[in-house]
Amino acid sequence: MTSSSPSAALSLPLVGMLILVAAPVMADTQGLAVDGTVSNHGEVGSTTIERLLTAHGLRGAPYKALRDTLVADASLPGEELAALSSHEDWRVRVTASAVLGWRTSPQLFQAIQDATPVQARSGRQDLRHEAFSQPNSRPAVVERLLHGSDSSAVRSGVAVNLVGKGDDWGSLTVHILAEERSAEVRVALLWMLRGAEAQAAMDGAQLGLMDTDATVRAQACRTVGYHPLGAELVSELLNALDDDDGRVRADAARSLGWLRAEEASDALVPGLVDPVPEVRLHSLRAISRLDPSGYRLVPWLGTLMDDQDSRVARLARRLHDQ
Amino acid sequence: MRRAPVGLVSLFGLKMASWRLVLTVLALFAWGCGPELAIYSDSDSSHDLAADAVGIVGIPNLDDDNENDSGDWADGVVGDASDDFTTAQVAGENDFVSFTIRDLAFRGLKNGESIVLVLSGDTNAIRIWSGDRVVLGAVAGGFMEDRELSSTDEDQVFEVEFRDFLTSGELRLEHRDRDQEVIAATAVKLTASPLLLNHHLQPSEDVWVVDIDAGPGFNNQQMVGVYAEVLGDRFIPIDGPTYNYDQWIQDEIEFGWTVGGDAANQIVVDSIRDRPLDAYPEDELLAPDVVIGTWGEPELANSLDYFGNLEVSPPVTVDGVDYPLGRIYWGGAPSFHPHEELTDFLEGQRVQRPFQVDTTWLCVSHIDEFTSFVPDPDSEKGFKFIYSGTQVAWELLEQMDPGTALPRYGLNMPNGHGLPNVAALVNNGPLRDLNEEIQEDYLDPILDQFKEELGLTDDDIMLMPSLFEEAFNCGGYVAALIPGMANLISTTSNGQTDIFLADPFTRDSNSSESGQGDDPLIQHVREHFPDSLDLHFVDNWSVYHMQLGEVHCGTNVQRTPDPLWWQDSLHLLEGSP
Repeated sequence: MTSSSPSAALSLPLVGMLILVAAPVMADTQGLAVDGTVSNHGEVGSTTIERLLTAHGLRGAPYKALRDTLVADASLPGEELAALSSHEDWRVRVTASAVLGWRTSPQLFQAIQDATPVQARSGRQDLRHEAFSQPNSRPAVVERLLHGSDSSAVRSGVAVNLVGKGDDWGSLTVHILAEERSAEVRVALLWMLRGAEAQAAMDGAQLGLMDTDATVRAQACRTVGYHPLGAELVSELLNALDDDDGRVRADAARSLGWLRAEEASDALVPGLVDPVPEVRLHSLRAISRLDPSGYRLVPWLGTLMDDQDSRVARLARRLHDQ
Repeated sequence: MRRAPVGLVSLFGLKMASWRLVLTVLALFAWGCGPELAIYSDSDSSHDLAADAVGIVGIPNLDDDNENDSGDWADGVVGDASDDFTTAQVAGENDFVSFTIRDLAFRGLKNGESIVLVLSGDTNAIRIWSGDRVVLGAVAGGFMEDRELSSTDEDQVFEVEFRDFLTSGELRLEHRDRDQEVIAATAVKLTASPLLLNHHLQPSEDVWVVDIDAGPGFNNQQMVGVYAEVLGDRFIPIDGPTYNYDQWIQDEIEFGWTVGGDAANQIVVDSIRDRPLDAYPEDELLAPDVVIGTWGEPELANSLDYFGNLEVSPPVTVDGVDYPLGRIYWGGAPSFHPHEELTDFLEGQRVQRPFQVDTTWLCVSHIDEFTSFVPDPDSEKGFKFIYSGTQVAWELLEQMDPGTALPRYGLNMPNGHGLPNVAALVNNGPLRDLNEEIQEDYLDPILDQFKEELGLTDDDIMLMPSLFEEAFNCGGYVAALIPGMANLISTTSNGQTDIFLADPFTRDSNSSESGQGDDPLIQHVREHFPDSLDLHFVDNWSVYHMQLGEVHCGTNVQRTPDPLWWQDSLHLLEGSP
């Protein structure tokens, strides 16, 4: 953008506007709460944004009204929106892409907005409308994820449609993860990151490992274990061995085994007497994978062969027999 | 209203044995001898039923033959006192079992002597009818335990009605003197049929699949087409949109029977699952001779209450005990299991003694995800147990060119697994580790349990190539990565058995119509399945596999019951419940 552009007068405020539109994206509920906090996120000060909102009569308006205003604003050229679709701020990108998408592919956007979920056999909510498979569906998928009125379960089903859509789907997922309020959706986003490019997967996993919700931390441990470059986060997994939650400790132990993180062998030993059977099981198996000689396990196998958990006892007997 | 299922009659080529039992009292008059009481069967006049443990077997009158939205047992008596036998059999009633007392019972009675019918046991849950009157057993306000029969020169026909599954009692025919002292007596056991759930080796009748066509990326049209082509009129597609695309017809209902005398009721066990297909049994299946029953509380339903998690083995012998109707099994764990109201009820039916195996390592936790049975006429037991095995899958994949594209697997979630070729599978360390754990922690010990519970040997078992992966949004629990071929449907009609199972798509093909001959997993299955079976690998990828189910989950089958189940299963009812 340059100051000589016909839309220059709009450009700078527009960025702020787009940020503002995207700002409350992680809300579980519909609608936007417009406040000055957005000024901390973008390059436009709150004073500018507020002037803009006042000028458009949009103060306190919901997302849809803001978006529709931009879609209908003939003074906002498509070229500029296209340029903003690659803006450095991801919120600007997704909102500009949505505005542009509503202009160019309204039927696709409407179809994605209207699609009803189908229940997988587990009860999981999946979105299987053909529109989600369209190559240009990503902005609509993101818009529904961020601004739809769906439950967390449905939003998780929406989110998984981001996988593989665009080279930067992983980094976009991390951005969303960082601000997502629903633990259920954060778990879904972390599951998706198993297949993302390395940087995004590890960035997301790091976020997940620091999450306040144990189910998220456990999913983050698994994501690290599944990823080819998961070894980069071995130290974080080692920390997770001391997590308060047994699921997290168990998944951390398992991932350390999967990653063949030999340096974790000693740290896994306390897990052999963990009160949670899953932790004992995964610690035992991980150590056996990291230390095939069984040296570290010898003192423990006698007790573990009598473990009250049949899986632990069976594995211990096999290792003992070996 | 039908007396017995047509398929049942035609299949066995015989008329169902009549329960027109003849209780014949042979009064023998001889010097110093009183009347001799004996009970004979119509079909074998030399067969003294009193010495027979079977007695009279009927069915519980749970259906609604007169279609007045009220169970027929409740309709049966209109009187309101124990001495008021104003009764009314409902229109179209056909669930009673009859017996006859011949005129011989009254010949030679001395002055003051009498012949008395005495009912004991579940007397408030049994009625003995004579014509349109209840003469013994439950009436409004109480029950009658004995009745003196009127002397007559004609045979007297009676009918027995049972209120519930396994209602039981004893009917005694007593010869009494003028002081009501019993001179002689004979007795017959009365038993109502338990619920008999179907197993995969029973002949099949109707087959149901929900027909879904929501575009090229989400439909089961190829699978529906194969069913229709193979099964013809026996295939019943259910309209998907009507039931909000709830494709899991296996989960919603479980078919069974009650069979006794010459009557049979189809029992539709309606799951507490209560998703959109919940209305289907009432919409399309409810009729006279069909009973829809639900056990459990819908508000407490979890995935284990769905009937992909309720299966029955073929007939087996375990530790010397014959189970001619097979054994029921379901998935669960001590702290997470199907609703106990249902499992307690099934355990109480006794003839298919249930057992539970751990399925809680699976995202959906259904037993049909990794087990099944198919007929094998050439084997000693007559079946093969189909069971998921991971090693055989790895062996088959390792023999493939790693560069072989796998178009279906290469699709991203939610349409595929993001694994574009064979190398992405075989070189995936965590995936191997995960499946090693599943094999060692669950599949191996569960197979040992099946061997023990069903008396199986290695020769009875065929391992189906299977791999599992962590399912999306399922807390780390797993589901099938390779479409679950063990999750199959077996239909048998007119001696022909067809097997419908998932196309594994382990080949460079996006279509079920092409390349199956080159698919190493399909080849393996064809080589190891019994030759007499006709295998149909169908495209269940989008509607079932990616939704965490497979062919069996999306199909339901009604089957023909054993018409004389009591002849070889009665021993399982003996002793305490």
